[in-house]
Amino acid sequence: MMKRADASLLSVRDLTMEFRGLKALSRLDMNVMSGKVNGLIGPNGAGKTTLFNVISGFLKPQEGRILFEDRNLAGLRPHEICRLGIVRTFQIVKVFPELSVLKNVMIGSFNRHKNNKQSQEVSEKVLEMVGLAGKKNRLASSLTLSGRKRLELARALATEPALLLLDETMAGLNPTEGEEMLSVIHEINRSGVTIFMIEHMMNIMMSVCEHIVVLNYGEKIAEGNPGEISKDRRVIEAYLGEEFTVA
Amino acid sequence: MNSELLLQGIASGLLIGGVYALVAIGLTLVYGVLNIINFAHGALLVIGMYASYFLFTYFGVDPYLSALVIIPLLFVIGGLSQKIVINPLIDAPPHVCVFVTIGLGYFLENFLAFVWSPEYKNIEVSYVRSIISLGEVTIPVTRLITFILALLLTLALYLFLKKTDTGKAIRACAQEKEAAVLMGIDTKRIFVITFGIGAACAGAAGAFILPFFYLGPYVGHTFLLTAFIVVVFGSMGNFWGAFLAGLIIGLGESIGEIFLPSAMKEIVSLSIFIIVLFFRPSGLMGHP
Amino acid sequence: MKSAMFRFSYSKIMVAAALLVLLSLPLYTGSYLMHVVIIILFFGYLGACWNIAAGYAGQISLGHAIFFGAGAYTSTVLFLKAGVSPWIGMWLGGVSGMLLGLFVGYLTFRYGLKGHYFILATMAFGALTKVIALNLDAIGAAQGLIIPFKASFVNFQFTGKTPYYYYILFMVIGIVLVCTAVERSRFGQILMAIREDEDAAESLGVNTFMYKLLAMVLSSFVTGLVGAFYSFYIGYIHPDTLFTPFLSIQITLIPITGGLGSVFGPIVGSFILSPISEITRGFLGKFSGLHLMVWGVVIMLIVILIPKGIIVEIQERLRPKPKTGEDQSL
Repeated sequence: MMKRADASLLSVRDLTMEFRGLKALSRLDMNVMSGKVNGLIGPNGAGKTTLFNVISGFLKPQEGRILFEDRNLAGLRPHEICRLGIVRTFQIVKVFPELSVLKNVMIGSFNRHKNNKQSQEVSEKVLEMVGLAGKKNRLASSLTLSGRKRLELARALATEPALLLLDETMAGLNPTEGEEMLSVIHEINRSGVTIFMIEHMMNIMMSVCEHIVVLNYGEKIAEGNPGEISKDRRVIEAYLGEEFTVA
Repeated sequence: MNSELLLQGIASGLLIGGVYALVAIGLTLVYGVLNIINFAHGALLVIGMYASYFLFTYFGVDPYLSALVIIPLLFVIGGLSQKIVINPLIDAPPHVCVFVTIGLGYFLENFLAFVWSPEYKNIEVSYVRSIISLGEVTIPVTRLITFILALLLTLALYLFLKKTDTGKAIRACAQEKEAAVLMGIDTKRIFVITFGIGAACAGAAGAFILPFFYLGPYVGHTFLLTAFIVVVFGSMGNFWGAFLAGLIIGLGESIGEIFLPSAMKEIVSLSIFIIVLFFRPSGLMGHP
Repeated sequence: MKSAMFRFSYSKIMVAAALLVLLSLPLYTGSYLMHVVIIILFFGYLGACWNIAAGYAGQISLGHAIFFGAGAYTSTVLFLKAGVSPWIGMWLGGVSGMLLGLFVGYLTFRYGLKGHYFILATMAFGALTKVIALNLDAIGAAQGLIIPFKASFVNFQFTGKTPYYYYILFMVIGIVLVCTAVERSRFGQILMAIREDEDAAESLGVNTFMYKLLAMVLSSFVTGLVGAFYSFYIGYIHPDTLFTPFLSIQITLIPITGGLGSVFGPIVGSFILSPISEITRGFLGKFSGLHLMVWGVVIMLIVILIPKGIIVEIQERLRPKPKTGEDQSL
């Protein structure tokens, strides 16, 4: 099998997203590298979640293309994009509160398995992977924030994605929980899922991600590996005055 | 097409539109601040009408003057309703508030039916037949006074919201509740006041239309539906949107009446409602 | 697990007992009481239909009466004008309710109306349907339609109440079975996910538009199905009774009282609420408006005290608490 080193799984070309005349994303060009942990960073309001919303189909861009496996995703509905292999989590955790943990995850697995028994098996395996197996019959609303974030992750995994978009998964977690979450994310990546994550904590991103895209005011100001990013002049300027740790 | 008829239609439409505007402004204010659709709004209007009727029949108070009493009265009723029934539910699932106001509406309007009997009544002020002629157009004096008072009240409310501290607090709550709380604004108190104001608008409108509208416990239903239409059309929560939309809907209804059989009058406003809901739910002032 | 098993068979026994009582009811009740139970079952059925769209899928519609009205009018008009037996007419009534549901659902979901906008849209459709019905001479307009009484099985006209009673009882059993099937099926699970969080469901590959539409179509079909029963039992239909927001609201209160999104909730809710409604009307009806005043207070109390309905509130209190030793960090 020929290994395609450094292949791009998803490419964004010339993407523009406008709200009432305000350009949230402006002529964006970037790549998400296959098999790696990719990062998306930028100051508040830079357009990171907007980009996720566009990629996952919740927003329709005015211009540009989103290329994934030779298809342009722009304009497709979120559920179609999920079927194609891209799934996301939300900045504010969205579990199904009145459904059990297991049922939450099964909703995700319904996509790939017509058989309920299979769906359940897949879901239970995923719950093992994120460490929630012991809670499978609990109501989702009874979980702590950390638990709910794991659940959202598990649910997304159950859709058997090629690309997982994580929107500030670490927000609100204490250092221990954050470390545990990171190791889960690593394990997911090792199992073959490409990760594209938004986070605020620069030091984490620099140490975890292999490929980073930096946004500011809806434009890309840098893209590359952590070493390149940390030396990039525009990045340093954008973060002037904020905490900035070189990995 | 008869131009005289059209002009008359425009005049009548604008005049009643002023009332729709006042009613809708009260409703939209409540929606903007509390984020609830007050299904009891029509009942509050009718309470205003009955109170005015009472004052006229037993004390000979002119309905327009009675507004001086009706406005504070309805403010209190509204504020109390909010405090007792609705405030505890602010964080409940959304359908709860809808049904609470529905229940409140049933309670209030049937209270009137109980006390006064459900028969239709009307009053006759001494000047009910006076008219003013502007060219080809005939305007009943009552409708004109109603329109002017509705406008004045709207203006007064606008100034209140713009200039006073309470008014600014209300606007702050409408825009961003969490920030308002952080700024030290007592949101619960603001909710009570806002609801009271909304009720006062409805009640005042009720007093204002008494001279030319028949009175009955369920009259509020038609006004409620029209108020919904105006609020959505004018963008939910938008003060001047409700005002403008009120005038437009009044016009639309009045002109529509010229062409359609009277039983179908509601079709005009309902059609506008449906079209707005589907094609521009953000309304006149909103962004698609 | 012993207590859970006990609870499980306890509720099954209750259901079986209730069923036995209901099946044998005509043996020991008179005409008036049977009428009351018929009305209770009728509203329970309607509430269960609404529950499919609202309780399971989360689409709170305040205009459901129009689907019922469409069913009633379809079967009545077909009978009066073409002699179509209501046994067939009821199915056509279901279809006409379904077509209306498809129309309303398609427009509202296609344009993404949610929350307050959805509620208002359903009310607008309700008001529009009423105005149109009041002005359509072909269906009797403001005079309504009367079904002249002539006892005949084919025409669903009986001298006693018993046949009507068994019909509505079997309809209720039917809708309970349908709701149970929905609740257990993948379809139902997905509807509930949509109810809980539509965006999340959509992001997980659920075609929320299609599922919401299906829920609406199913709900409106079964709602229309019972229209024929009403027409031929009461004998007189009028737009003011059938297409009114009051009826739509009444339909929604039943599952809200008994249990939103639960199979037996609407039935239980109707057994609680319909008698209250009948009793207040019976005793207080002569004082104009008083019974509706009480009704308004009842509505407020229900929604304040048991917003999710009795069955669901009880279920929540009986839920197992976390055991000691269980991981509290997640």
